[in-house]
Amino acid sequence: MTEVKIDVDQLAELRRFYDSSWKASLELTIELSRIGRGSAEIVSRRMTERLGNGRMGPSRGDLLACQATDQLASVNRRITFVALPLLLTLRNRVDDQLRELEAVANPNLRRGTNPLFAGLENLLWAGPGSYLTRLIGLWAAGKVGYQGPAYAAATPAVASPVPLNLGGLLARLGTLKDGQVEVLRVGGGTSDRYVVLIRGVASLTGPSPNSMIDAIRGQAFGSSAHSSGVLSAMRKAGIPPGSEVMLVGHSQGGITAMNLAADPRVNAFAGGLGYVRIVDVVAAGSPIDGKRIPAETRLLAMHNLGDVIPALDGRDDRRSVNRLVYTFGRPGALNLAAAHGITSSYAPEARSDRFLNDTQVRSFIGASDMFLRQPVESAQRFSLHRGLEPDPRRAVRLRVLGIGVG
Amino acid sequence: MTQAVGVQQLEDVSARLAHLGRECEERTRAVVWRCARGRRAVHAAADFSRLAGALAADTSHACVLLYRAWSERTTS
Repeated sequence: MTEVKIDVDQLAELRRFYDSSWKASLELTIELSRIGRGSAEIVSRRMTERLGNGRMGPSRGDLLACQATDQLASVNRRITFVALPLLLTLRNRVDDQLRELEAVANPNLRRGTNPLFAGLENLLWAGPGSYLTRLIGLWAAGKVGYQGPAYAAATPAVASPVPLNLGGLLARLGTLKDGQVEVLRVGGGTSDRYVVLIRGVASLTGPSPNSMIDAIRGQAFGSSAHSSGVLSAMRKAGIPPGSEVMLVGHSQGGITAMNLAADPRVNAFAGGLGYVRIVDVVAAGSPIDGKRIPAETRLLAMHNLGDVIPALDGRDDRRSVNRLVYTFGRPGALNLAAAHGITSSYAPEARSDRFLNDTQVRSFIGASDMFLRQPVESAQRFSLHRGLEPDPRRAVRLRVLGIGVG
Repeated sequence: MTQAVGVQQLEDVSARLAHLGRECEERTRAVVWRCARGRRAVHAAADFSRLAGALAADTSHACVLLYRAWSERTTS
Protein backbone atom coordinates (compact mmCIF):
# COMPACT_ATOMS: atom_id res chain seq x y z
CA MET A 1 0.00 0.00 0.00
CA THR A 2 1.38 3.38 -0.96
CA GLU A 3 1.17 5.96 1.75
CA VAL A 4 0.19 9.35 0.44
CA LYS A 5 2.01 12.03 2.33
CA ILE A 6 0.28 15.32 2.54
CA ASP A 7 2.40 18.33 3.20
CA VAL A 8 0.64 20.68 5.61
CA ASP A 9 3.15 23.46 4.96
CA GLN A 10 2.38 23.22 1.25
CA LEU A 11 -1.34 23.57 1.99
CA ALA A 12 -0.69 26.53 4.26
CA GLU A 13 1.44 28.12 1.55
CA LEU A 14 -1.37 27.53 -0.98
CA ARG A 15 -3.84 29.18 1.39
CA ARG A 16 -1.56 32.21 1.67
CA PHE A 17 -1.33 32.30 -2.12
CA TYR A 18 -5.14 32.29 -2.46
CA ASP A 19 -5.35 35.09 0.08
CA SER A 20 -2.75 37.18 -1.70
CA SER A 21 -4.43 36.47 -5.07
CA TRP A 22 -7.74 37.63 -3.60
CA LYS A 23 -6.13 40.89 -2.48
CA ALA A 24 -4.34 41.29 -5.81
CA SER A 25 -7.61 40.75 -7.71
CA LEU A 26 -9.33 43.30 -5.52
CA GLU A 27 -6.56 45.79 -6.29
CA LEU A 28 -7.02 45.07 -10.00
CA THR A 29 -10.70 45.99 -9.74
CA ILE A 30 -9.70 49.30 -8.13
CA GLU A 31 -7.18 49.94 -10.91
CA LEU A 32 -9.74 49.06 -13.60
CA SER A 33 -12.34 51.32 -12.01
CA ARG A 34 -9.85 54.17 -11.91
CA ILE A 35 -8.92 53.77 -15.57
CA GLY A 36 -12.56 53.35 -16.66
CA ARG A 37 -13.59 56.43 -14.69
CA GLY A 38 -10.71 58.46 -16.15
CA SER A 39 -11.63 57.43 -19.67
CA ALA A 40 -15.32 58.22 -19.14
CA GLU A 41 -14.44 61.66 -17.76
CA ILE A 42 -12.31 62.45 -20.81
CA VAL A 43 -15.09 61.33 -23.17
CA SER A 44 -17.63 63.43 -21.28
CA ARG A 45 -15.36 66.49 -21.43
CA ARG A 46 -14.76 66.04 -25.15
CA MET A 47 -18.45 65.62 -25.90
CA THR A 48 -19.20 68.85 -24.02
CA GLU A 49 -16.49 70.63 -26.03
CA ARG A 50 -17.91 69.27 -29.28
CA LEU A 51 -21.38 70.46 -28.40
CA GLY A 52 -19.89 73.86 -27.51
CA ASN A 53 -18.27 74.00 -30.95
CA GLY A 54 -21.63 73.29 -32.56
CA ARG A 55 -20.89 69.69 -33.53
CA MET A 56 -23.56 67.16 -32.83
CA GLY A 57 -22.93 63.57 -31.73
CA PRO A 58 -19.79 61.83 -30.61
CA SER A 59 -16.71 61.31 -32.75
CA ARG A 60 -15.55 57.83 -33.76
CA GLY A 61 -12.79 58.05 -31.18
CA ASP A 62 -15.29 58.85 -28.45
CA LEU A 63 -17.44 55.87 -29.44
CA LEU A 64 -14.42 53.59 -29.26
CA ALA A 65 -13.53 54.97 -25.85
CA CYS A 66 -17.11 54.39 -24.62
CA GLN A 67 -16.95 50.81 -25.89
CA ALA A 68 -13.67 50.30 -24.03
CA THR A 69 -15.14 51.76 -20.83
CA ASP A 70 -18.11 49.37 -21.07
CA GLN A 71 -15.79 46.44 -21.54
CA LEU A 72 -13.72 47.43 -18.53
CA ALA A 73 -16.88 47.66 -16.42
CA SER A 74 -17.85 44.18 -17.54
CA VAL A 75 -14.40 42.81 -16.65
CA ASN A 76 -14.68 44.47 -13.26
CA ARG A 77 -18.08 42.94 -12.59
CA ARG A 78 -16.85 39.45 -13.48
CA ILE A 79 -13.80 39.80 -11.25
CA THR A 80 -15.98 40.96 -8.36
CA PHE A 81 -18.84 38.50 -8.70
CA VAL A 82 -17.15 35.44 -10.17
CA ALA A 83 -13.38 35.45 -9.73
CA LEU A 84 -13.23 36.66 -6.12
CA PRO A 85 -15.85 34.14 -4.87
CA LEU A 86 -13.96 31.38 -6.72
CA LEU A 87 -10.79 32.26 -4.83
CA LEU A 88 -12.71 32.18 -1.55
CA THR A 89 -14.07 28.74 -2.45
CA LEU A 90 -10.55 27.53 -3.11
CA ARG A 91 -9.39 28.89 0.22
CA ASN A 92 -12.28 27.11 1.96
CA ARG A 93 -11.25 23.82 0.31
CA VAL A 94 -7.76 24.22 1.76
CA ASP A 95 -9.27 25.01 5.16
CA ASP A 96 -11.43 21.87 5.00
CA GLN A 97 -8.39 19.81 4.11
CA LEU A 98 -6.32 21.30 6.93
CA ARG A 99 -9.14 20.72 9.40
CA GLU A 100 -9.41 17.10 8.36
CA LEU A 101 -5.67 16.59 8.68
CA GLU A 102 -5.74 18.16 12.09
CA ALA A 103 -8.51 15.80 13.16
CA VAL A 104 -6.50 12.80 11.91
CA ALA A 105 -3.30 13.98 13.60
CA ASN A 106 -4.99 14.75 16.88
CA PRO A 107 -7.38 12.00 17.96
CA ASN A 108 -8.31 14.00 21.06
CA LEU A 109 -10.39 16.25 18.87
CA ARG A 110 -14.01 15.22 18.71
CA ARG A 111 -13.73 13.48 15.39
CA GLY A 112 -17.33 12.32 15.47
CA THR A 113 -18.51 15.84 16.07
CA ASN A 114 -16.34 17.78 13.66
CA PRO A 115 -17.77 16.49 10.36
CA LEU A 116 -21.29 17.02 11.70
CA PHE A 117 -20.69 20.62 12.63
CA ALA A 118 -18.57 21.18 9.55
CA GLY A 119 -21.56 19.95 7.51
CA LEU A 120 -23.93 22.17 9.46
CA GLU A 121 -21.62 25.12 9.05
CA ASN A 122 -21.29 24.49 5.32
CA LEU A 123 -25.05 24.19 4.98
CA LEU A 124 -25.68 27.46 6.71
CA TRP A 125 -22.58 29.27 5.48
CA ALA A 126 -23.03 28.69 1.78
CA GLY A 127 -25.09 31.09 -0.31
CA PRO A 128 -28.44 29.31 0.10
CA GLY A 129 -27.64 28.83 3.80
CA SER A 130 -28.79 32.25 4.77
CA TYR A 131 -32.02 31.53 2.91
CA LEU A 132 -32.41 28.36 4.94
CA THR A 133 -32.10 30.30 8.18
CA ARG A 134 -34.60 32.80 6.87
CA LEU A 135 -36.97 30.03 5.90
CA ILE A 136 -36.82 28.55 9.39
CA GLY A 137 -37.53 32.02 10.75
CA LEU A 138 -40.55 32.37 8.45
CA TRP A 139 -41.79 28.98 9.50
CA ALA A 140 -41.38 29.88 13.13
CA ALA A 141 -43.25 33.12 12.63
CA GLY A 142 -46.17 31.55 10.83
CA LYS A 143 -46.56 28.24 12.61
CA VAL A 144 -45.39 28.79 16.14
CA GLY A 145 -46.29 32.45 16.38
CA TYR A 146 -43.83 33.24 19.12
CA GLN A 147 -43.48 36.85 18.08
CA GLY A 148 -45.57 38.70 20.56
CA PRO A 149 -45.47 40.68 23.74
CA ALA A 150 -43.29 39.85 26.68
CA TYR A 151 -42.84 41.49 30.03
CA ALA A 152 -40.28 41.61 32.79
CA ALA A 153 -40.87 40.80 36.44
CA ALA A 154 -38.40 41.79 39.15
CA THR A 155 -36.50 38.96 40.84
CA PRO A 156 -34.53 39.06 44.09
CA ALA A 157 -31.32 41.03 43.83
CA VAL A 158 -27.98 39.26 43.75
CA ALA A 159 -25.66 40.77 46.30
CA SER A 160 -22.29 39.77 44.84
CA PRO A 161 -20.06 42.65 43.70
CA VAL A 162 -19.92 43.48 40.00
CA PRO A 163 -16.46 44.17 38.61
CA LEU A 164 -16.96 46.73 35.87
CA ASN A 165 -14.64 45.49 33.18
CA LEU A 166 -15.56 43.48 30.12
CA GLY A 167 -14.31 40.18 31.56
CA GLY A 168 -16.26 40.78 34.76
CA LEU A 169 -19.43 41.76 32.92
CA LEU A 170 -19.31 38.65 30.73
CA ALA A 171 -18.70 36.47 33.78
CA ARG A 172 -21.68 38.14 35.48
CA LEU A 173 -23.72 37.48 32.34
CA GLY A 174 -22.90 33.80 32.77
CA THR A 175 -24.65 33.79 36.17
CA LEU A 176 -28.03 34.87 34.73
CA LYS A 177 -30.66 32.14 34.70
CA ASP A 178 -33.14 31.25 31.94
CA GLY A 179 -34.95 34.37 30.73
CA GLN A 180 -33.14 36.76 33.04
CA VAL A 181 -31.86 40.25 32.32
CA GLU A 182 -29.82 42.43 34.67
CA VAL A 183 -29.71 46.21 34.68
CA LEU A 184 -26.77 47.91 36.40
CA ARG A 185 -26.76 51.60 37.20
CA VAL A 186 -23.19 52.88 37.02
CA GLY A 187 -21.32 56.05 37.89
CA GLY A 188 -21.89 58.27 40.83
CA GLY A 189 -24.41 60.90 41.84
CA THR A 190 -27.01 61.80 39.28
CA SER A 191 -25.50 59.60 36.59
CA ASP A 192 -27.92 58.38 33.98
CA ARG A 193 -25.78 55.53 32.67
CA TYR A 194 -26.82 51.93 32.63
CA VAL A 195 -25.38 48.59 31.61
CA VAL A 196 -27.88 45.92 30.55
CA LEU A 197 -26.78 42.28 30.57
CA ILE A 198 -28.73 39.97 28.25
CA ARG A 199 -28.15 36.22 28.33
CA GLY A 200 -28.25 33.77 25.44
CA VAL A 201 -30.65 31.00 24.42
CA ALA A 202 -31.80 28.81 27.30
CA SER A 203 -34.11 26.35 25.54
CA LEU A 204 -35.60 25.41 22.20
CA THR A 205 -39.05 26.71 23.08
CA GLY A 206 -40.53 27.64 26.40
CA PRO A 207 -42.39 30.07 28.58
CA SER A 208 -39.61 32.66 28.50
CA PRO A 209 -38.67 34.44 25.27
CA ASN A 210 -35.10 33.27 25.82
CA SER A 211 -35.69 30.45 23.34
CA MET A 212 -34.16 29.26 20.09
CA ILE A 213 -37.33 30.19 18.18
CA ASP A 214 -37.03 33.79 19.39
CA ALA A 215 -33.33 33.80 18.55
CA ILE A 216 -34.10 32.76 14.96
CA ARG A 217 -36.85 35.35 14.74
CA GLY A 218 -34.58 38.05 16.13
CA GLN A 219 -31.81 37.09 13.74
CA ALA A 220 -34.01 36.96 10.65
CA PHE A 221 -36.51 39.73 11.28
CA GLY A 222 -34.88 42.32 13.52
CA SER A 223 -37.20 41.90 16.48
CA SER A 224 -38.64 39.20 18.69
CA ALA A 225 -40.50 38.75 21.92
CA HIS A 226 -37.09 38.81 23.58
CA SER A 227 -36.59 42.43 22.42
CA SER A 228 -39.95 43.38 23.99
CA GLY A 229 -38.96 41.64 27.21
CA VAL A 230 -35.57 43.37 27.48
CA LEU A 231 -37.17 46.73 26.76
CA SER A 232 -39.75 46.04 29.45
CA ALA A 233 -36.92 45.25 31.90
CA MET A 234 -35.19 48.52 31.02
CA ARG A 235 -38.38 50.46 31.71
CA LYS A 236 -39.06 48.58 34.96
CA ALA A 237 -35.52 49.32 36.13
CA GLY A 238 -36.44 52.99 35.89
CA ILE A 239 -33.96 53.93 33.17
CA PRO A 240 -34.98 57.54 32.43
CA PRO A 241 -35.51 58.50 28.78
CA GLY A 242 -32.37 59.85 27.12
CA SER A 243 -29.96 57.89 29.36
CA GLU A 244 -26.76 56.47 27.98
CA VAL A 245 -26.84 52.69 27.86
CA MET A 246 -24.39 49.88 27.18
CA LEU A 247 -25.90 46.55 26.11
CA VAL A 248 -23.89 43.40 26.74
CA GLY A 249 -25.25 40.22 25.22
CA HIS A 250 -24.19 36.66 24.63
CA SER A 251 -25.51 34.67 21.64
CA GLN A 252 -29.23 35.53 21.41
CA GLY A 253 -28.55 38.41 23.81
CA GLY A 254 -26.16 39.92 21.25
CA ILE A 255 -28.80 39.61 18.51
CA THR A 256 -31.38 41.31 20.72
CA ALA A 257 -28.89 44.04 21.69
CA MET A 258 -28.22 44.77 18.01
CA ASN A 259 -31.94 44.79 17.22
CA LEU A 260 -32.60 47.28 20.02
CA ALA A 261 -29.67 49.43 18.89
CA ALA A 262 -31.04 49.51 15.34
CA ASP A 263 -34.61 50.33 16.42
CA PRO A 264 -35.32 54.08 16.17
CA ARG A 265 -38.05 53.73 18.81
CA VAL A 266 -35.46 52.46 21.31
CA ASN A 267 -32.16 54.05 20.30
CA ALA A 268 -32.20 57.82 19.80
CA PHE A 269 -29.05 57.49 17.69
CA ALA A 270 -31.03 55.49 15.12
CA GLY A 271 -32.76 58.58 13.79
CA GLY A 272 -36.02 58.58 15.72
CA LEU A 273 -37.28 59.79 19.07
CA GLY A 274 -35.68 56.80 20.77
CA TYR A 275 -36.13 55.96 24.42
CA VAL A 276 -32.43 55.88 25.34
CA ARG A 277 -29.06 56.47 23.73
CA ILE A 278 -27.36 53.12 23.17
CA VAL A 279 -23.72 54.12 23.14
CA ASP A 280 -22.06 50.70 23.25
CA VAL A 281 -22.99 47.15 22.35
CA VAL A 282 -20.86 44.15 23.30
CA ALA A 283 -21.95 40.96 21.52
CA ALA A 284 -20.21 37.70 22.35
CA GLY A 285 -20.74 34.73 20.04
CA SER A 286 -23.70 36.25 18.17
CA PRO A 287 -24.55 35.97 14.45
CA ILE A 288 -24.90 39.71 13.89
CA ASP A 289 -22.87 40.45 10.77
CA GLY A 290 -26.03 41.27 8.83
CA LYS A 291 -27.25 43.72 11.47
CA ARG A 292 -26.92 47.46 11.03
CA ILE A 293 -26.36 49.93 13.83
CA PRO A 294 -26.23 53.74 13.83
CA ALA A 295 -22.83 55.36 13.37
CA GLU A 296 -22.94 56.81 16.90
CA THR A 297 -23.31 53.37 18.49
CA ARG A 298 -20.08 51.39 18.94
CA LEU A 299 -20.00 47.62 18.66
CA LEU A 300 -17.45 45.19 19.99
CA ALA A 301 -18.20 41.72 18.64
CA MET A 302 -16.30 38.72 20.06
CA HIS A 303 -16.08 35.71 17.81
CA ASN A 304 -14.49 32.39 18.75
CA LEU A 305 -13.41 30.81 15.46
CA GLY A 306 -14.20 27.38 16.92
CA ASP A 307 -17.79 28.47 17.53
CA VAL A 308 -20.20 27.96 14.63
CA ILE A 309 -23.02 30.09 16.08
CA PRO A 310 -21.63 33.52 15.05
CA ALA A 311 -21.31 32.16 11.50
CA LEU A 312 -24.93 31.01 11.26
CA ASP A 313 -25.99 34.18 9.48
CA GLY A 314 -23.85 33.07 6.54
CA ARG A 315 -21.86 36.28 6.42
CA ASP A 316 -18.27 37.24 7.03
CA ASP A 317 -17.33 39.45 9.96
CA ARG A 318 -18.26 42.99 9.09
CA ARG A 319 -15.86 45.61 10.35
CA SER A 320 -15.98 49.40 10.22
CA VAL A 321 -15.01 52.39 12.32
CA ASN A 322 -17.73 51.71 14.89
CA ARG A 323 -17.84 47.89 14.44
CA LEU A 324 -14.87 46.21 16.05
CA VAL A 325 -14.55 42.45 15.71
CA TYR A 326 -12.25 40.52 18.01
CA THR A 327 -11.57 36.95 16.92
CA PHE A 328 -9.82 34.21 18.84
CA GLY A 329 -9.57 30.42 18.98
CA ARG A 330 -9.14 28.01 16.09
CA PRO A 331 -11.70 26.74 13.58
CA GLY A 332 -12.98 23.30 14.55
CA ALA A 333 -10.60 23.03 17.48
CA LEU A 334 -13.19 22.88 20.26
CA ASN A 335 -16.52 21.23 20.69
CA LEU A 336 -19.55 23.40 20.10
CA ALA A 337 -20.71 23.70 23.68
CA ALA A 338 -17.29 24.68 24.99
CA ALA A 339 -16.58 27.06 22.15
CA HIS A 340 -19.92 28.83 22.46
CA GLY A 341 -20.26 28.92 26.25
CA ILE A 342 -20.01 32.27 27.99
CA THR A 343 -18.20 30.85 31.01
CA SER A 344 -16.03 28.39 29.08
CA SER A 345 -15.05 30.56 26.14
CA TYR A 346 -15.95 34.25 25.99
CA ALA A 347 -15.61 35.38 29.63
CA PRO A 348 -12.15 33.77 30.11
CA GLU A 349 -10.98 35.24 26.80
CA ALA A 350 -12.15 38.71 27.86
CA ARG A 351 -9.82 38.41 30.85
CA SER A 352 -6.83 37.25 28.82
CA ASP A 353 -3.78 39.44 28.15
CA ARG A 354 -4.26 38.98 24.40
CA PHE A 355 -7.73 40.52 24.62
CA LEU A 356 -6.72 43.32 26.94
CA ASN A 357 -3.68 44.21 24.83
CA ASP A 358 -5.53 44.10 21.54
CA THR A 359 -5.40 47.54 19.92
CA GLN A 360 -9.06 47.72 18.94
CA VAL A 361 -10.25 46.35 22.27
CA ARG A 362 -8.15 48.95 24.06
CA SER A 363 -9.64 51.70 21.93
CA PHE A 364 -13.15 50.40 22.69
CA ILE A 365 -12.46 50.21 26.43
CA GLY A 366 -10.88 53.67 26.35
CA ALA A 367 -13.97 55.11 24.67
CA SER A 368 -16.31 53.29 27.08
CA ASP A 369 -14.87 54.83 30.22
CA MET A 370 -18.27 56.22 31.11
CA PHE A 371 -19.50 52.65 31.74
CA LEU A 372 -16.41 50.67 32.62
CA ARG A 373 -14.25 51.32 35.68
CA GLN A 374 -17.17 53.10 37.39
CA PRO A 375 -18.80 52.25 40.71
CA VAL A 376 -22.02 50.25 40.47
CA GLU A 377 -24.86 52.14 42.13
CA SER A 378 -27.46 49.42 41.88
CA ALA A 379 -28.12 46.07 40.23
CA GLN A 380 -31.59 44.79 39.40
CA ARG A 381 -32.52 41.43 37.93
CA PHE A 382 -35.65 40.68 35.97
CA SER A 383 -37.09 37.49 34.58
CA LEU A 384 -38.81 37.71 31.22
CA HIS A 385 -42.16 36.10 30.48
CA ARG A 386 -44.08 35.67 27.29
CA GLY A 387 -47.43 37.43 26.92
CA LEU A 388 -49.08 40.46 28.48
CA GLU A 389 -48.26 41.42 32.00
CA PRO A 390 -51.07 40.46 34.42
CA ASP A 391 -52.85 43.65 35.31
CA PRO A 392 -54.21 43.64 38.92
CA ARG A 393 -56.88 46.23 38.00
CA ARG A 394 -58.13 43.94 35.25
CA ALA A 395 -58.31 41.04 37.72
CA VAL A 396 -60.38 43.20 40.13
CA ARG A 397 -62.74 44.22 37.30
CA LEU A 398 -63.23 40.57 36.32
CA ARG A 399 -63.93 39.59 39.94
CA VAL A 400 -66.52 42.34 40.20
CA LEU A 401 -68.15 40.96 37.08
CA GLY A 402 -68.15 37.52 38.64
CA ILE A 403 -65.67 36.02 36.18
CA GLY A 404 -63.12 33.72 37.74
CA VAL A 405 -59.50 34.63 37.32
CA GLY A 406 -56.70 32.20 37.92
CA MET B 1 -0.78 60.35 -24.45
CA THR B 2 -1.07 56.62 -23.83
CA GLN B 3 0.13 57.17 -20.27
CA ALA B 4 -2.67 59.67 -19.70
CA VAL B 5 -5.48 57.28 -20.63
CA GLY B 6 -4.10 54.21 -18.89
CA VAL B 7 -3.27 52.05 -21.89
CA GLN B 8 0.00 50.96 -20.34
CA GLN B 9 -1.68 50.22 -17.01
CA LEU B 10 -4.33 48.16 -18.78
CA GLU B 11 -1.67 46.07 -20.45
CA ASP B 12 -0.17 45.44 -17.01
CA VAL B 13 -3.57 44.50 -15.57
CA SER B 14 -4.16 42.07 -18.43
CA ALA B 15 -0.76 40.44 -17.94
CA ARG B 16 -1.28 40.21 -14.18
CA LEU B 17 -4.69 38.58 -14.59
CA ALA B 18 -3.39 35.97 -17.02
CA HIS B 19 -0.42 35.23 -14.75
CA LEU B 20 -2.62 34.98 -11.67
CA GLY B 21 -4.89 32.43 -13.35
CA ARG B 22 -2.00 30.26 -14.58
CA GLU B 23 -0.19 30.35 -11.26
CA CYS B 24 -3.37 29.49 -9.36
CA GLU B 25 -3.98 26.39 -11.44
CA GLU B 26 -0.36 25.25 -11.33
CA ARG B 27 -0.07 25.67 -7.57
CA THR B 28 -3.37 23.91 -6.90
CA ARG B 29 -2.39 20.96 -9.10
CA ALA B 30 1.00 20.72 -7.36
CA VAL B 31 -0.60 20.04 -3.95
CA VAL B 32 -1.39 16.47 -2.92
CA TRP B 33 -5.05 16.45 -1.91
CA ARG B 34 -7.11 13.87 -0.15
CA CYS B 35 -9.99 12.27 -2.00
CA ALA B 36 -12.70 14.17 -3.91
CA ARG B 37 -12.00 17.51 -2.31
CA GLY B 38 -8.77 17.74 -4.30
CA ARG B 39 -10.54 17.07 -7.58
CA ARG B 40 -13.06 19.78 -6.82
CA ALA B 41 -10.29 22.20 -5.88
CA VAL B 42 -8.38 21.46 -9.08
CA HIS B 43 -11.57 21.96 -11.11
CA ALA B 44 -12.25 25.24 -9.36
CA ALA B 45 -8.68 26.37 -9.98
CA ALA B 46 -8.98 25.43 -13.67
CA ASP B 47 -12.22 27.44 -13.82
CA PHE B 48 -10.46 30.36 -12.23
CA SER B 49 -7.58 30.06 -14.67
CA ARG B 50 -9.94 30.01 -17.67
CA LEU B 51 -11.89 32.94 -16.28
CA ALA B 52 -8.73 34.92 -15.61
CA GLY B 53 -7.55 34.18 -19.17
CA ALA B 54 -10.86 35.42 -20.62
CA LEU B 55 -10.77 38.51 -18.43
CA ALA B 56 -7.17 39.19 -19.48
CA ALA B 57 -8.22 38.91 -23.15
CA ASP B 58 -11.15 41.29 -22.61
CA THR B 59 -8.93 43.76 -20.79
CA SER B 60 -6.43 43.55 -23.60
CA HIS B 61 -9.22 44.18 -26.12
CA ALA B 62 -10.39 47.20 -24.13
CA CYS B 63 -6.81 48.40 -24.17
CA VAL B 64 -6.71 48.14 -27.98
CA LEU B 65 -10.02 50.02 -28.23
CA LEU B 66 -8.73 52.78 -26.01
CA TYR B 67 -5.52 53.03 -27.98
CA ARG B 68 -7.47 53.28 -31.23
CA ALA B 69 -9.77 55.89 -29.68
CA TRP B 70 -6.87 58.14 -28.71
CA SER B 71 -5.15 57.54 -32.07
CA GLU B 72 -8.34 58.64 -33.85
CA ARG B 73 -8.49 61.75 -31.76
CA THR B 74 -4.91 62.74 -32.29
CA THR B 75 -5.15 62.23 -36.05
CA SER B 76 -8.56 63.95 -36.42
